[in-house]
Amino acid sequence: MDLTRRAFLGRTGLSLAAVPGLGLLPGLDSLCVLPAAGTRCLVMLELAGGNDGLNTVIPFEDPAYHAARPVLRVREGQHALEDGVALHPRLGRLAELYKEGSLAVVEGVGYPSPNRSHFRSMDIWQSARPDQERPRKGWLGLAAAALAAAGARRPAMALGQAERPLCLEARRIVVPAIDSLADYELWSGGGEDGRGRLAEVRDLATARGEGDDAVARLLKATAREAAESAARIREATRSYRPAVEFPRTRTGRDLELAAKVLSASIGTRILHLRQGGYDTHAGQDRTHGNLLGEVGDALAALARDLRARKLWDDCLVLVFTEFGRRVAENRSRGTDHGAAGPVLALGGRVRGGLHGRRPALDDLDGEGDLRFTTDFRGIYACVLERWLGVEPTRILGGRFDGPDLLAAT
Amino acid sequence: MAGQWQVFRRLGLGPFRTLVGEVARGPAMIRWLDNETNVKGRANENFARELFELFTLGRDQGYVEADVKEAARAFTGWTIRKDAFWFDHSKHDGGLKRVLGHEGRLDGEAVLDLAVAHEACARHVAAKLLACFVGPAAPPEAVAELAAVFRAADGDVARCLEVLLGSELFFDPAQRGTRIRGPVEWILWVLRTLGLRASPRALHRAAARMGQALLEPPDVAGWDEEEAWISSATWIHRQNFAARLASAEGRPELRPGLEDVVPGDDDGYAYLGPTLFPDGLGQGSARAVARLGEAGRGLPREQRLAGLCETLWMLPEAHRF
Repeated sequence: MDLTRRAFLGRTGLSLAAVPGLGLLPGLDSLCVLPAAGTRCLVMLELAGGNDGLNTVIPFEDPAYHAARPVLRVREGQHALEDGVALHPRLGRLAELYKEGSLAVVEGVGYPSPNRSHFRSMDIWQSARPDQERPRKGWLGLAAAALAAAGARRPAMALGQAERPLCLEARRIVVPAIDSLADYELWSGGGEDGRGRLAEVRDLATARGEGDDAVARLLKATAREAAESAARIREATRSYRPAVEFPRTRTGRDLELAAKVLSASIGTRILHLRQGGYDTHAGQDRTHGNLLGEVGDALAALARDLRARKLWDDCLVLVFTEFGRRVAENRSRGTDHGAAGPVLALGGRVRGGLHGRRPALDDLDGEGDLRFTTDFRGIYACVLERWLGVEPTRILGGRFDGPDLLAAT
Repeated sequence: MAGQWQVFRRLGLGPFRTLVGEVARGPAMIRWLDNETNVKGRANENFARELFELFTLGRDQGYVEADVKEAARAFTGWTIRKDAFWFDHSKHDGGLKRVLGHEGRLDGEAVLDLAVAHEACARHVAAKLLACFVGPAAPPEAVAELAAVFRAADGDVARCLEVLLGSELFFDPAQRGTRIRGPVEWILWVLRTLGLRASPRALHRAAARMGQALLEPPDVAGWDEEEAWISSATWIHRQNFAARLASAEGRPELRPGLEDVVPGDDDGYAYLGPTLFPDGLGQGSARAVARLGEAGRGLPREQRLAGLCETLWMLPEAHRF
């Protein structure tokens, strides 16, 4: 067990779950810009392990690609997009979305001085603060806190996971994590009476106390959030009927849960989901294909479901990973940790097509990795300001430019 | 993984270099970090990177990318045959290497020697021991002190623990309650403080839902701990576990029953309070317990005990130590 990122108690100053309507919390009210952007939702889909971007968005007309990957190169079945680039053979459904104009691909996304440690690089993507040694706040946590300060109730949620991701962490809010909706229910024996009694006692036990330190505040706030959200979310999602059949895969189920939460209109604007397994050091071919097939099909189902509910125009999905992988394959029929890679954006108001500048395969960095051409924080800035209506500079620690991913909003 | 766990039990308190050596040669580590395919000519860096970052030196402490690449070459040929370590000479890169400032025809054992002897390793291990036995609020000076003990004792972990567990810091009241009980820690506390037992299978399932499936860590770094254990989802799982265990439905699994371990014929708080919470309770919790006591008057003892246990096990104080 390591000294954790989120340790050093006594300095975190966590407070109880934000109960909106108690007035704007100091410092955060200035972050909100467009309250009218109130219905737009962001779904952050994390591909954990380092997705091999070069075999996802394939420069199949570049001889250098084929030369670097004699075993792993994609030879046939790829879905051509345009301009010499194609999607992996298992991403057919996403290729369809591309043709419809709902999919944007940003090539060559990364950041300066790329770090090749899973943990460090993911911390950087989730905090957007490479200057922080051990970040404890996430860019979307800060955005959610700003939304909460402006009156949003439960603006963010982690789905399909029991642990909150760093990107959703912030002081002053407690973000619920729902692993499985069916299990997200408090069971209490002892009949109706017993349930009521225990609920009352629970309220007493979790009320703010004078001697409370940061640990106590976290525990109490979480207990209250769990009790409140368990009832609220199950009730709100009870009437959901899927408009399409979601794939019976882990990612399919997670995105169906996302669809449920979004269509329940309970005010949640930011969702985070995660698909693991992308750290393909060995035997990449089949594993990577299966992962991409799973995520592509699940995303296509989400798009169809939300479109049927007329929610697709108000939804933006961002697919990201902590780093791309090395251009040259290794001797284990896999690839090692690399640097820059593509980011995908999907949604009804996305400006579909290719964005950014493709990194040159003949101009790699000292480690043999792709050089980034778009800083990921430029994408975040666009999402924060133009999609969520939250001022980006304080959250990102500076001004960043990025591709214009959204149609006029 | 079970094999690796046995290694921890057997060698965890001994010289750290011995533990590192056994774990590095274990099938779990070799398989998980792709060392079976780490061969001469195309080294696979996975194991070398995590060796430095997670197990010996700590992230970015005293090593650079070039060290990872060179160290990977040193571990070529370390593979498995019939579920046991096997060194494949033909796959090993015996050439000159430079790792952590040392040059030579370094092999895997030599790199392990260098990593453990590095000053960053002493600090890394000291920090881990302090985080576990004292808590996240342990002062930085303690790390330096314990690291010095580690070095002086040639990496003997038992000696480090001896010093740590006898130190003023360990007994400092300001350090009490700074750690959050992980799923297994909390479940065992619930059972052991009252001398209860339950089906191991059920406990394993429960801990897995709370985020800790034993022998199945989410990745090679193990579990994120402390505050990461606490989310609304895991809280619901803990609550449900406490409720089921305390109620009649949980009874068949629970040996002995609550009525058998709690003396007296009242609701049992006179016994349960001090047993579970020797440091006492905060105001909110104390009030809650009093209220529960009042509301339970007149109910059969079994029900009062169940309600009380469920409540006590889920007080905020129950989840920290």
